[in-house]
Amino acid sequence: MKKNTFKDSHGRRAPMAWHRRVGVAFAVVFVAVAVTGLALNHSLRLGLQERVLEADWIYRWYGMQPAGEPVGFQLAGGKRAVGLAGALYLEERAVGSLHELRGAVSLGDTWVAAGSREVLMLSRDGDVIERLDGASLPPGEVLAVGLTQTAEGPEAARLVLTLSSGRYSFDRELVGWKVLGSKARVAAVAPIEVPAELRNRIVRAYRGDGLSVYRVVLDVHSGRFFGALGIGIVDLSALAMGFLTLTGVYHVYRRRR
Amino acid sequence: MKAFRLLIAWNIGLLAWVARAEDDVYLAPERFLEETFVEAAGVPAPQLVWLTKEAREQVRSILGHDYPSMRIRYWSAGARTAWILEEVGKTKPITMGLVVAGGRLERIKVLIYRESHGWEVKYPFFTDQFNGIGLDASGRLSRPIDGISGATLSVNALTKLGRLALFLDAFVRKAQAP
Repeated sequence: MKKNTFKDSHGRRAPMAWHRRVGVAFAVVFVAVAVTGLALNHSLRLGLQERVLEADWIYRWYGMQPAGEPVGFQLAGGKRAVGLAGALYLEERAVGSLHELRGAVSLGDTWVAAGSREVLMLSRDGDVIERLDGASLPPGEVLAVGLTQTAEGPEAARLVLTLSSGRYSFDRELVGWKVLGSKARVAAVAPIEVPAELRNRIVRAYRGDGLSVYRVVLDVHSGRFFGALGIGIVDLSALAMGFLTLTGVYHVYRRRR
Repeated sequence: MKAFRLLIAWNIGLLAWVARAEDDVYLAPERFLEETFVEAAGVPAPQLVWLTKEAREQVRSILGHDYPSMRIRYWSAGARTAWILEEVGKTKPITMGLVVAGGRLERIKVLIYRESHGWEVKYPFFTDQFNGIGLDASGRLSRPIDGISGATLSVNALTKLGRLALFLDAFVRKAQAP
């Protein structure tokens, strides 16, 4: 008797066996795509565009939640410079990127913020006057920030950076610098505790307009919520749906015979 | 199931490969300056050019956006000026060293590259195209630059910086003219 090549070990025809397997394997994905698709189709009625998510975990998942703890320094005029997640803020206004804020001081009509590798010179309102990096700074990593203390008073104070290579004072325009002797008097700049309300304002600024429910549902629907793997799975599910359609039609055809 | 596991492994590998992109420092900026002024008695003291309203408008027309600072540092010796400028390629800034002499680009060098694609622009076969190039009457480069397939955005960024360096050189020369 000729072996029946259309049936598996349980007596089911091979296409139908695979129909069941694929259906089970992608069941969760099919349901998720269907539910999110329905929601997207009725997003206007459901108001998904206007609903903004607030949970921190979703922003962490999207990389829109600033990591780490803020570091703050007091400036003249009651304003505060805050470093958080590689960015520098004047109050809640983002003024530029700066890695690991080490200190910030007011210098006349300007203020200076020093990260571990860069220094920003800014106007009082937070406009970037210049960014100084390796070509314009003494060698080494910035460890601390301070101001010279002289008899001429605070108006004559100059920026002092303590780098891994030594201690340096800068001229007013931060063009020239010289090695500072060990006997020179320097007022070190100490960090302040960043109030929770200021941190919250910065976090909201960091998030921009925030994440709408529509955006998240759309990303789940497309698989992008889970990254490249999710996109691949959703692509496979699309192919699987086509396969199930073919095997379903095949099943109907076979039954009629 | 074996095929599915292979797919998952492939995806994980893809994610790992994408995540490996990081800053490539091809030449430290301070080293670029030392090389540029090797014939002088060391790197000259830096100078500053403040961008006036008119200059900012010109810069905006070159870059398509405002320059991210109000003043730009440069180094000058004789008829040569050296600039260290940055422009975003696709998502991250590319740091370039550019030397202008006599109103023409003498040298350009990719110092730091942070993009995940388009790193071909660092090679001399591409950057040497800029040697001797100037600006025409309309402010465009005096010669076209051949692009690189797959690196269009980085090519555009370098082209903009070339134009910017030439404009800035002319700007400071004009300001210093008696």
